[in-house]
Amino acid sequence: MGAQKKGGARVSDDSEEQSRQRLQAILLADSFTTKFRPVTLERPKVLLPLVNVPMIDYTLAWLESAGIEEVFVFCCAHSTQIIDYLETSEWRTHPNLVVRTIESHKSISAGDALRYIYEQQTETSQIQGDFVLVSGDTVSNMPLADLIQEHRERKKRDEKAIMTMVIKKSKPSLITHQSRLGTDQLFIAVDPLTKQLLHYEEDKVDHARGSVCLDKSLMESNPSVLLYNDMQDCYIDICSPEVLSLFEDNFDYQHLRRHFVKGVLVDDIMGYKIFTHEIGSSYAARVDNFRSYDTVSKDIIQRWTYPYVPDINFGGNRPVKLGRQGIYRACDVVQSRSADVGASTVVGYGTKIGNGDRILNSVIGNGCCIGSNVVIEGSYIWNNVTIEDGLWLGGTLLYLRIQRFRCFSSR
Amino acid sequence: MDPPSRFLHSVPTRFDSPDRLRFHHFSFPQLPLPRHDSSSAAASAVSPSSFSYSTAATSPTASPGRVSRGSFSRFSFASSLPGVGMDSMAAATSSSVPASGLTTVSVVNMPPPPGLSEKASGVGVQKSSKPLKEKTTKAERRALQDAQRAASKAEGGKAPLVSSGSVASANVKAAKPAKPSSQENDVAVAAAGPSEKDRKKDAPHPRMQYDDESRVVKAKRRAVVKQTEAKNRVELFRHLPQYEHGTQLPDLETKFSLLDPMYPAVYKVGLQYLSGDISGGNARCIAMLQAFQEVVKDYSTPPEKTLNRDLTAKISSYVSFLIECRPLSVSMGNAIRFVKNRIAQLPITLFESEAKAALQSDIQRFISEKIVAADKAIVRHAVTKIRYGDVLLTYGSPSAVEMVLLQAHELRKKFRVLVVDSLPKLEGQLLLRRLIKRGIDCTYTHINAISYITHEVTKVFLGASSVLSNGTVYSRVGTACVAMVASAFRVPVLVCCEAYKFHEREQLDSICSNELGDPNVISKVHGRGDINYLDGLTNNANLQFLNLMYDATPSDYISMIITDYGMVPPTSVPVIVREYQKEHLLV
Repeated sequence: MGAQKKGGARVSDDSEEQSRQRLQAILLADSFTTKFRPVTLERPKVLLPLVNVPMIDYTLAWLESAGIEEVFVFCCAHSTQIIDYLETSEWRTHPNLVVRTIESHKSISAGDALRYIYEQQTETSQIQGDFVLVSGDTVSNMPLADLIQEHRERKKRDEKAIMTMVIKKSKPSLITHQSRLGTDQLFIAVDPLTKQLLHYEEDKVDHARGSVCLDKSLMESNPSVLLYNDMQDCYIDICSPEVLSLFEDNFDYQHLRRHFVKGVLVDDIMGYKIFTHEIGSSYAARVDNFRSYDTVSKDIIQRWTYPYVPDINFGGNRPVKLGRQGIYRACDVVQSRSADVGASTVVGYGTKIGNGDRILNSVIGNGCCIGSNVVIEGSYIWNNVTIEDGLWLGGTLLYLRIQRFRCFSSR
Repeated sequence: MDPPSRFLHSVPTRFDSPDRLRFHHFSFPQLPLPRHDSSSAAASAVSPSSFSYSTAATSPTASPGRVSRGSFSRFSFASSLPGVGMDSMAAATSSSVPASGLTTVSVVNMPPPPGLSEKASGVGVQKSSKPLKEKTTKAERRALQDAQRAASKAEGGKAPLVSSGSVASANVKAAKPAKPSSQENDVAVAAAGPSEKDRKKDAPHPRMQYDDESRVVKAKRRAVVKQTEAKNRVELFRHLPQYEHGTQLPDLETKFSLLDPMYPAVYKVGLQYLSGDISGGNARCIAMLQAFQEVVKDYSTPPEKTLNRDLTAKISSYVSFLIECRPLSVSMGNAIRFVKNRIAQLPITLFESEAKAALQSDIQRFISEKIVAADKAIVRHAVTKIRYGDVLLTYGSPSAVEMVLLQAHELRKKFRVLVVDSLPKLEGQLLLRRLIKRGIDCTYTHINAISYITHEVTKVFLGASSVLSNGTVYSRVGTACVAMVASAFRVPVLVCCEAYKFHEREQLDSICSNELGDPNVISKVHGRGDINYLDGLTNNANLQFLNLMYDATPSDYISMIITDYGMVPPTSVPVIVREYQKEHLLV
């Protein structure tokens, strides 16, 4: 992992400097949570198939098309599997995108990861300028170039603007107080003119009374405040190098939002500012629990994440053919005549579907063998699974471990 | 290429049964009755309104340039219906009029007949001219016309100015410069609180043709809503009003205190129309009738006036205000006719309070019988047509169809719905939201995908703003496309329409009578601010924006019309019109 050269000894203009700076991203391939256990006991989460494509492929494909030139993949748990995967996939030889891996075994949180990167950085100075910080399970199609430009300009005007967060409109359910991605509902306060983030509240919401507590100083220092309850945090951040040094200084920052963002908002000694950016028609979501796995899979099938959809070749996936009513079928699927494959279903390569089956709103992986009279509704069957006759699967995630299969309800 | 469609030529033959539409195939030897210029035409002259011809009244050889293009014949549809009469002056395409013996009718714009009563809806008058002997060449005609124009100008403009679309010059492209100058009439004449009598007298015909300069000016003078005319207009649709959107609402809101004669409820309804808060035939009609109920409730007869006449005049003035806000729909027109009819039939002997109570209950009965109960009857008939496993397609947001779908869902029928939508209004999204809330399985798409999805559709349900006597369905723009594609795929098309929306006139195309919406909304794409290639081009001379609101679906594409009187084929519509009218004219 060589150092990036910055150029000759001449005095460089800001714009020239930027143009020579490569657009970089840090991809955290470990979410440091245990939400996907027991599946993630053996496999890294970012390699789990989302509509038959590993999650990390969605993120890398999106970063590449958004103009990022260099990605640093930070691996901690099951790092060898991730590194092997990246070595053998097409990302190794990609012309536009350079993928570098950073491996650590001691990190237990995102904060640790960033501190590790910072330490590495001081030796080899890889990260120059502003970078994009994402998690390895992000599915998105939003354009980044304009946002990075906006961030840089804001930084030029105001030295303290260290981070830009991406948020998207998404109303939480009134019953469960959770967003459609299974995260708790979010209260944020934003200055409408400058888009600066003023308050970020996720857990201390009083559901019984439906109220949230705001600090008085918020109103004193800002002429107008916009309160949002219908936003979802996409966990896509454009960060300046100061972010890394901040993590280094505050070694108890573990979680990106609960500690870092809240810490920055509260801290008025240094006076750093975080800004927000709302995306409208683009899609961005993070798969960090089973509910968001379900939701994002359905969004991908319904093509909200275009061009990262099953029938388009991105990141080395094998495209399947799209038919009417949202049915994606691979070309070598063996399907019995009496089987009924319903709307919004994906069937992978080499799969056999037996007599009288009914499959609806599901994803079937590659190499599966489904017996007769099976009803599969709203389920996700991963690769190489064999299903015996007469089973009824509703809302299930199924993956095969050698000669055993486990069945979990995802609701 | 200049459209011939603005040649309006009406036939002022006698209309002995006023409620009957005459379809005239105009054959030339039948000369129109001569009328004179400034004499007051008899109030019963029901000739439909204005035309784009003009001539110097004094020049006798007015005609040669005019119409001797033996290349078309004209169909005129004259409706004698007061207050509602929609004169669709369809211009026609070429046909078999012999070149010789051609008569020309050149029209002179007349001041509207005084004392507008229910019957006198027309303000246009014609003047006949001498029949043409032979065809003259284009150049000669042009020269003649120039000479006439000069003559008329020299005379001090006894006759009104040349309005747009002078027909004979249509062929000559050089006539274009004359038109924009006359049409750039963007100064709105302030309505200086005309007296009620004036307003009553000069109320414009609801189907006034807006390409006639003088009429437009006159209408402006009496107008309450200050409208600025749009500048860059499509030639073919100059007979329809088009105003700059966004200028009227704030102006009207501030003027409220100055408008003494205006009743607040009617004013509110007008504002709601203007801002688009209320849309859809039924909703508009109900809102208007409820406003009229309030008017009646608060009405008190001024001394020395009869209730019938005075209230009718008041209603007419309110109607003209509503027209200024937004042109009337057919449903509203029929309702207004009903109200005026009921007022006229009130016995003189009744006390004022009794008369008012009777009128209010009549209006209430109209709403509950003709709209609400009719909808229930339609739903009852239509759900029988929905079968297990049906895939139903609907377009836009028709209220009747929505009720049918919700009822079918209540009856636990298994079907799914395809909602087709179109820019710029995106009305289908409202319907979609309401259907999804009830748990109906829906698919949503735009109209450009219609030939893809009709493949899996079993039935098409459409709504209508009105159904005309020749079976043509007059409905939101895009309906005709949907019906056409469905008929190409042999999918049955069912139109759900209440019987009070039927009308006696007949219409063959979507041009002669339509409504123009705001042209600026079509230069943008909803939700995509980055697509702004047409920004700033709205005033370009080479580019005109056209935002039509309605279109006419021919009866061949319609399989069945579901009304509260039953399910009928489109050919039975005149029968229902006849029966329906008899019913509400009876006491």
